[in-house]
Amino acid sequence: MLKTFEYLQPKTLEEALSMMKSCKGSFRLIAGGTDVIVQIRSGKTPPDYLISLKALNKELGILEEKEEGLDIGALVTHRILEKSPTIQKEYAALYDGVSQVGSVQVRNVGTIGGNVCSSLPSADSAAPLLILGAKLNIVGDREESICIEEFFTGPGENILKNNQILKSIFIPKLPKNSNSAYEKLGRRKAMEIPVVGAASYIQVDKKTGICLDARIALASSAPTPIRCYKAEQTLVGQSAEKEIFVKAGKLAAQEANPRTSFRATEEYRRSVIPVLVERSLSRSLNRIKK
Amino acid sequence: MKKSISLTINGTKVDAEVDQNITLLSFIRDEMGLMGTKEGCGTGDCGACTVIIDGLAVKSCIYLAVEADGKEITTIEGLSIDGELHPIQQAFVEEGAVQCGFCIPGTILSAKALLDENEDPTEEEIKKGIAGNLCRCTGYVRIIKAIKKSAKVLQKAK
Repeated sequence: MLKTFEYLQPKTLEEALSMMKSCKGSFRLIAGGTDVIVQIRSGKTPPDYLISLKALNKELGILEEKEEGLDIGALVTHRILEKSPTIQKEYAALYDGVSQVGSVQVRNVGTIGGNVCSSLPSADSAAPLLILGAKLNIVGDREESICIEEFFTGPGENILKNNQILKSIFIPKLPKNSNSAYEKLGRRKAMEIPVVGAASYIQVDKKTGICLDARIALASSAPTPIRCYKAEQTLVGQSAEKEIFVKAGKLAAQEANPRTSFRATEEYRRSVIPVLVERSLSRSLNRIKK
Repeated sequence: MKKSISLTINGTKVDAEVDQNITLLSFIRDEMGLMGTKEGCGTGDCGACTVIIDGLAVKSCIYLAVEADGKEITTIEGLSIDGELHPIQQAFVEEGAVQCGFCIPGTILSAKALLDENEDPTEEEIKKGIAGNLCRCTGYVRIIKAIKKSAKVLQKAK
């Protein structure tokens, strides 16, 4: 038996928000539970209440393709995203990320909203969302949309106040001649948290091969998932090829602020970041060529 | 505090009052007495506790019993019919895929969820399908062989 908590299951988003307001005591939102239950089982003191979002699938569980892009409800599971042909084809970095979370059993239950709101520096969906220009749709007293860059504030921390819920994630459609990729380095191929993860997006001029736009983001390389703006800038206007990708990788390593943990040392992380960034950019480029 | 749930386990409808803070794994073992589902790590890593919920393989050690309300659950006990082994179980026996056996119920259920969705998986797809089931005895070679064999048997039976 786990340490005691009371389990609440609101039936609508509105009910969830009002429960959060009226809760006397600490509470935590739970979606798939693949982080929350593990933490409680590992002995972390549970909150007084767990507010489950599982019954809100109609409001938060929808994956919808729109003309301007993709709307992903916070409760959409990694597995549903992994199997979506649209994500496989058009948002390849996100496919690379979500298809490498845990194992099938974890991806069947774990949600993208949960992955983002757990806000771990190692979240496999975060770096891909950063380079895909994702916007987070947050509800509370009012509804607002923010860039994902503004969301993470520290390891396991984000800007959400305790009367707010992440409702959905919007990813704009990518322009022509662009593509993305996410490279994850782990010690094994499944049930793994990245030692370092590198996501990239590039757009090239098909005639000249010049890089028109670039975005690079890293996981497990700083207290939060981060964008590497200097590395991005060095690519723009240059011929998209290995030499400049290597340079971008080195700059990304300078922008990173990795730590030593039982998974890897700071030095090791810093030395593999350039490798992963180069691989990721090369993969994005190859995907454009295909 | 208890909550009432009603669910289907291996085809049988069950109504129960459960503590809000027990896992589905402990409900299945301690309250339903179905001991085929194992607890290995207890933190969602090893996959010994895998069951099928509404067609999807899930780790029952990190899934709350209250959340199984209204769901259809299959455990290893639900695979054989009238004492006759399911083709996946039979293939595991024939291929010698079982050593200590502790991980096998979970592995077989992951295999079943995979084959229900993809009747002819490649070796790579099989490896991905059972990547969340750790086996410390076999080295997986015979497990993969057994899953391939059962896929053929199941396809023929169709």
